[in-house]
Amino acid sequence: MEVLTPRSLGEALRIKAERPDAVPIQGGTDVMVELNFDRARPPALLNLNEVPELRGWSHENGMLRLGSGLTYTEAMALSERLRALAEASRTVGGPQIRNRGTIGGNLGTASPAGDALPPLLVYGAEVELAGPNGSRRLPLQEFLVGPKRNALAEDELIVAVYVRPLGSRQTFMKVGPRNAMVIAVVSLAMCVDEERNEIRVSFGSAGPVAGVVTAPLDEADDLPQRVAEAASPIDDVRGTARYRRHALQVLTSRALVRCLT
Amino acid sequence: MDVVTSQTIGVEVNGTTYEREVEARRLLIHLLRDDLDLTGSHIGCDTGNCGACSVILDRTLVKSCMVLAIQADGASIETVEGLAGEEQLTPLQQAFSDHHALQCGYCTPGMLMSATALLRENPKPSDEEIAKAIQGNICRCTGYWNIFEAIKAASE
Amino acid sequence: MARLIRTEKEVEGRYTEQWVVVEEDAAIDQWPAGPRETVGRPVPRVDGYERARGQALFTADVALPGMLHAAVLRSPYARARVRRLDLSRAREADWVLGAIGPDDCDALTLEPGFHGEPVAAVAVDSPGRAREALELIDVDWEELEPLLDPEEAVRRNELHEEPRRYERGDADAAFADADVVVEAEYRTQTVLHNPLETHQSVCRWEGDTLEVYISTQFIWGVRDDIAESLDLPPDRIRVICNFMGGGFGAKNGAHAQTFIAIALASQTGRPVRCALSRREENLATGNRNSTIQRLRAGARSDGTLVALEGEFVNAVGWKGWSGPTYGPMEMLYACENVRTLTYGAKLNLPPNAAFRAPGFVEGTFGLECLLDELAGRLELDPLELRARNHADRDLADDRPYSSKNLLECYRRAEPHWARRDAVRARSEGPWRRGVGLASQIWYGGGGPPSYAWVRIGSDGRATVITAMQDIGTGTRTAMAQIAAEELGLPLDRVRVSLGDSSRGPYASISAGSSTTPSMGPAVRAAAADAARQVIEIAAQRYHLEERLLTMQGGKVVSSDGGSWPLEEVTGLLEDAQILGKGARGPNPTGMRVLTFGIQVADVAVDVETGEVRVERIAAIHDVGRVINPLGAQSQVEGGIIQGVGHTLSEERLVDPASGIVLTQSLDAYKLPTIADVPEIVVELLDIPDEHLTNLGSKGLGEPPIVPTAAAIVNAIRDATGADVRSLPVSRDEMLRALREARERERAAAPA
Repeated sequence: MEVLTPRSLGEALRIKAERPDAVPIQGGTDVMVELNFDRARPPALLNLNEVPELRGWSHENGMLRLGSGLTYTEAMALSERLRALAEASRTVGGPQIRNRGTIGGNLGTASPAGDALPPLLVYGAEVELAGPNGSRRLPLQEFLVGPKRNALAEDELIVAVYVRPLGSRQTFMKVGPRNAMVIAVVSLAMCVDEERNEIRVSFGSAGPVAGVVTAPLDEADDLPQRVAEAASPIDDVRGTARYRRHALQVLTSRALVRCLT
Repeated sequence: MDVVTSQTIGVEVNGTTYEREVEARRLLIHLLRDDLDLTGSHIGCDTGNCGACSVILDRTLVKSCMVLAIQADGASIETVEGLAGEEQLTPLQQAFSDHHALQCGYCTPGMLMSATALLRENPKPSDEEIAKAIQGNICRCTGYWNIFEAIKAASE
Repeated sequence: MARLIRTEKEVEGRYTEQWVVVEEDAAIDQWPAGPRETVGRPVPRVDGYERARGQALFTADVALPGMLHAAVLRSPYARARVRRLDLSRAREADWVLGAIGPDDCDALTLEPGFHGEPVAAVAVDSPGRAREALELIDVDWEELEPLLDPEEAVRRNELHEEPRRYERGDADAAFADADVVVEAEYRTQTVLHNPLETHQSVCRWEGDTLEVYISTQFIWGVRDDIAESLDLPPDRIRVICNFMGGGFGAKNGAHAQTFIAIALASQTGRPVRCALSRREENLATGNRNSTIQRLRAGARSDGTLVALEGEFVNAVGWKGWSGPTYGPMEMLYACENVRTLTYGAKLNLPPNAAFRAPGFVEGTFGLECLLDELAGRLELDPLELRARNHADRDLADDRPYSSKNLLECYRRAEPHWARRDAVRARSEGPWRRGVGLASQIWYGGGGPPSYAWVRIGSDGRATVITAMQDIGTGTRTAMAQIAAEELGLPLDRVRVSLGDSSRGPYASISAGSSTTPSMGPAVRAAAADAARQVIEIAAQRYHLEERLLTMQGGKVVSSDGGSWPLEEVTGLLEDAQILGKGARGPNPTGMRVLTFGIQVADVAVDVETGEVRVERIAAIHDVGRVINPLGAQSQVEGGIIQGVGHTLSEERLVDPASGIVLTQSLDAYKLPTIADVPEIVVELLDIPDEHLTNLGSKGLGEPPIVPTAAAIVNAIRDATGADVRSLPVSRDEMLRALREARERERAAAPA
């Protein structure tokens, strides 16, 4: 195995075009487990730690641009602007993992349990992907195509996520078998979009991809039921399908109380 | 751009500079323990859960089983061995000793690094902040309370 | 003169008779109850400095020159036959220095009976490449149908031993006469020890002597395992364990990794480390096996228990032993009529191992939940029900107790129990609160043979020398305290040298809550022997009567006035030293030595999501004299948090069709974090057992985990009315129990 360490985005994209088999690594939370378990033996790793263009966040045309290298610790500091994402980030791993793990990693892995995904989905986030022929943006919902599968082409990298700030009526909730360091049994994000007069809900760990349910503000009462119906959970080591559906209904009711009162 | 299967890297650990040839797959924890003989940081798992391998990498608390040695090239690293002077324990280490904040002691170096990172950022943490700071460190022996008390004592 | 006696020895509830040699010296009286100069006072750990600096050298940290690293090929199937094992590619590869199969090592097998059983092993230079070398081993597996269901194993008579049957009195008649009979089936899950340091050994031949560095709870047991298995003289095996990273019962012997390392060291002529990864640890090093318990209790309307009956199925796994799940039912209460039947099912699952009060944790969960269900039927206060059935004498063995202060524990529990109305009143929204309790019984008396030496040098400093191990519990500190107390020395003038079978006398296993009660009396006896010699020397040198002299505050003090610093007396010897020897005497004849206690738990249950939070646990235990309250408190807290994990989050899951273990990593297997810890209130009675040794101390490692699960589940019932009967209390299980309670209520409501 080789480790390729570019110093700029341009260089990173050039390498990725030449070596599409190189696995991008940022915080390592998912990739390192695969390596340590010997489940993956990639011929090369593309170490993105030294690419400055991927770091931090900024304002861009009324949107927030979150670099794919934004760590959960950094995202926690965005609670004024992106409360649900900040709350979700707080539930990721322990401090060490939050210091290294990035939202780009969550997008790249595209696990249905990725904690950052439901908040980004309710924000209607767009993902910026860059490749040898420039960059493209697509809605996160289209980017996530299946369990641990995304729309990234093999010569592309995830550069950033764009979200529209939506005010403070938003929240994130997660159910796990203990109170820290848990992969979600189910998770749920909700936000009220006042401009569009709607509520958006997204849930994790209850289907092959994180799901999204939208309702007009005045039809909030049906939401718990609708969210539970929209889920397609399975039984696994973390919980049963029956429980997940039930918990989504309860969490949606509670999130409504938080967001509407 | 560096393309290598093994690479010579330079790291500063506890104030001493080292150069080592490392394989691409080598983890930072193995560099510290096997190549630099700094065995204070321990390995309790390989999934980033237990926290026994916690070190401070460029002023950021990390789990060194989740970092490739090559990714630490040029970095400054602090481990448990670097906390105290020749004889004297830091107030935090002393508090761990005084409060029985350890039983078997295997998790202790990682706990100390997490608590050190906390107290540097936040010398007077609340109870909740102390608990959050060691959320990523598993102790199978103590029940955590004495660790909490030791950090609290060191913060006052 | 050495005195040879035959005595009963108990470890984890298993009794054997054995010969031991004890010293002839006159018995040493116990110290009066209560804190003394050092013993009974909170003392920081004597090894806190090394451990806080990262200088404590664990087996994981041992690196010998030329050391190789082993990797183990393990069965990927729960049951298989290896049709062909070919090591030739591994043996031919120049970077693979050792390769062994079942022909080379008895710890390897061609007929693995559980997922993870070792089949072959290799040794290479670089730790990073050891696993890679396993790919050079060619194996032709034949996967066989595994037996995984314990009830099916019982039906097929696939058992580790004959079913154990016990009966006293006439249970059938008593049930027929009972005013109230309750019965229920309880289940406990498989849980994993998960000490942070995994099982590991480093083995090296030094001439004709085998050196074994190992993370172990029993240096001498490792030595004997190896001697027996390899037919070596025991004294040619040196076993070393200076610091070790936790065991909880899983590290009582040499284990496969040691035999693999020895075989590879023999083959290569180099030192070999065999260290398990976390995933291997969670496959192959033992567990607390799951149980099924069908229980029945009969009582008179005043609460008197007249009959108890239990059928227990222990899902032991492929190897291991059928634990005393029946123990609490036979021992805890003064019930005349008791019948138990226990099966140890042999299954294609990883073997069990002793895990912190094995059997009793599981059995107490069933019995103490059943007792609360009985209290509900009788409309009796659960604490009152327990007090009413207090046993004044051990009925299982028909013997008196050496000491028992359980009623005092109950009395001290009352203020915690009395809070329950206030706790329930704090229920709000979906969160229901309640309080529950459970009683505890367990062994913990320790016993001989255990020996110690105390050496006093010309500098007036003492060293306790014994080849015991400190598994993290603070034994070094407790032994230093006992010696310091007896020698009248400040604690900083006593060192403890342990952890090496060639540098000290035989010492007890650190299991079964036996270290302090076994070793403490030997250390005290050795210190007393050394003190006697100091006084004899001082008497001769200063022409004084021995009977007037004592050792206090680092001095030899005469009751006539006058005192001499210890170093002045011992300084007479220049470089030579005084050596005291001590042995642990036998346990009191004809008595049962047991520990007792009670825990009171406060919980909050979210009845919508099924989340359970343990908010507070008060633990009151009767373990005899407490040597170091600070260390004891930490032990209790640690036991309780393991109990909380056992109750709420920990579970080893196995694929029900294949027997493959699904929860190998710490990601999948949920150990409690600091965010899961309740407030813990620890109260130890600290009443010396007047019949037990020169100390009156019992063990403390295990009692605190025994009643935790039952106390929590009884609190859940108090909070919600739901009967949880299966561990862990997953959210699914919690919601199931709540649904059942609602249905019961609906059925009972008048139409």
